[in-house]
Amino acid sequence: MSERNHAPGRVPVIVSAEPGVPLAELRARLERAGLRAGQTLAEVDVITGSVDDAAGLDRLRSVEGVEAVERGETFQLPPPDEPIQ
Amino acid sequence: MQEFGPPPEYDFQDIGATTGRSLVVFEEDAEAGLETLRSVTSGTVATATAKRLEPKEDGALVFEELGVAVVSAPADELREAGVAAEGGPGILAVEPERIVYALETIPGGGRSAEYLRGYRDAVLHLTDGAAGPLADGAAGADAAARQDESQTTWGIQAVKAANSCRSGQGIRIAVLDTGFDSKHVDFAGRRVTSQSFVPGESAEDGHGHGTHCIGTAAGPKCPRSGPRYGVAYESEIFSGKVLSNAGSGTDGQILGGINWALANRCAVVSMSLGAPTRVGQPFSRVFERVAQRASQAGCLIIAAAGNDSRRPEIVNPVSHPANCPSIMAVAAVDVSLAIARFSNRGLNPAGGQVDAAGPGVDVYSSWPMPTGHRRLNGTSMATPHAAGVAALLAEANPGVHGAALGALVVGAARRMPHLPSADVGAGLVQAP
Repeated sequence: MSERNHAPGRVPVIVSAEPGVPLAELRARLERAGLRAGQTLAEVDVITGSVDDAAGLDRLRSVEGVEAVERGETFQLPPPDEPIQ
Repeated sequence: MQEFGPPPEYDFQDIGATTGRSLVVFEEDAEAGLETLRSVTSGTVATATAKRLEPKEDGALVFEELGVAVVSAPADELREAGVAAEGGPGILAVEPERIVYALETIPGGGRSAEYLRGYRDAVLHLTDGAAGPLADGAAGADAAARQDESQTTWGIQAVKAANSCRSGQGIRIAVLDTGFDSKHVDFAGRRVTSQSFVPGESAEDGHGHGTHCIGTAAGPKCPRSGPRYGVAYESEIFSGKVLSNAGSGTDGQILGGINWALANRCAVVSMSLGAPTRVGQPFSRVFERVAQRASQAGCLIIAAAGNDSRRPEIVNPVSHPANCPSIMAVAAVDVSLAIARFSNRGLNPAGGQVDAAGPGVDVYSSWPMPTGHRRLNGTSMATPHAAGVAALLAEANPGVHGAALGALVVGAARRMPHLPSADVGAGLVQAP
């Protein structure tokens, strides 16, 4: 399950597919458009990965079969000893 | 429940500039306040309608349902004329009118309902500041009756799980968090399916947050020691580790966890995680589509509203991804059933609302051994209460899944008329 997409400087990205689009083919098209692909999530029609820079997000948006492209967010819990979690 | 670094320091004051007009909040009986207003306003004092949302020059426009008037004169002029909380009969507060976010975010300018909601939120902000956190006598008495935690925690009592005949049997709950302490004595013999989505880390909980949340959602009916703290005590637990032992995670890891939960036909996904949002920020289209697909697959996703507020001074909007329309956002209340001071508010339209509230202050639950148990605060603690309740409702209503199950959770919630729906949605989740 490990992702190889969090090298420093790279932009994490999440891509949702239009309904009915074969994910393997979409993944290949996304890779040709610059995506370093991570997971293919068949239950939710999502492909994760990273791109070189912010401009790479726009290149993915024009790929056929893509519904939405977003920069991946990061989450951070407080340390365990914090009272508010 | 926080992004890297300190929480953002913005509040209503920073959302936009003021308009040069003022906002007058009446006391409960608006008539006295109206009299005061008429005595100092040279123009007309009119009532707002759907077609009329601006005061005339020198006049005032009264929003009767909100108990508030927009006055064309600036606040300092009104105060000089004697309309003030201290001097003006029937007046609770006078403030400069802010440029309300909803006006800026509604495409096409269709605005009457959003305009009113915006004013309502502004009024709530003012009254919170004037009156302090709401904790009236009735709620206090309720709290006193609930202090006895010798058998069950206050949260289990508040959501009515203590007397429910439902246990969550046959229902799969996925908790996507920091993992689970598989050696915890309270879960000996319990079947827990675990999977890590964090590179290089096992599914064991090296933080504690995940073990606490799983305890609340699905902890046992009779722990080895101490009170019952788990809602759906016979549900089947799926622990997806999407946050590292250091408490960090990515969208990709969380989506991986949701995908895994769907592949395992979990009826409920509980996510005590979130990233702060700004007023006006749209929800994630990817997560919204994922939540819709989850619903079609029979799964309800529940997430924490977030802890970025410090009431009454700072009130921040519902976090990502709880701000998606198809994800249930859960706020936190305390034992008095007052809103928790850190709990975020529904400030953004189109999905950014709070859907319901759960117990989220002084919540006792499981913690990795050898500690065993611990009390914590947060919408992270409220969320698994709601997830557990959803599992009980799923058990009680076979064939109801996804969004329909969410509607049951919201519909069964105990109304909290002392709190604004922007804070608690439909109210406190209740077991069947």
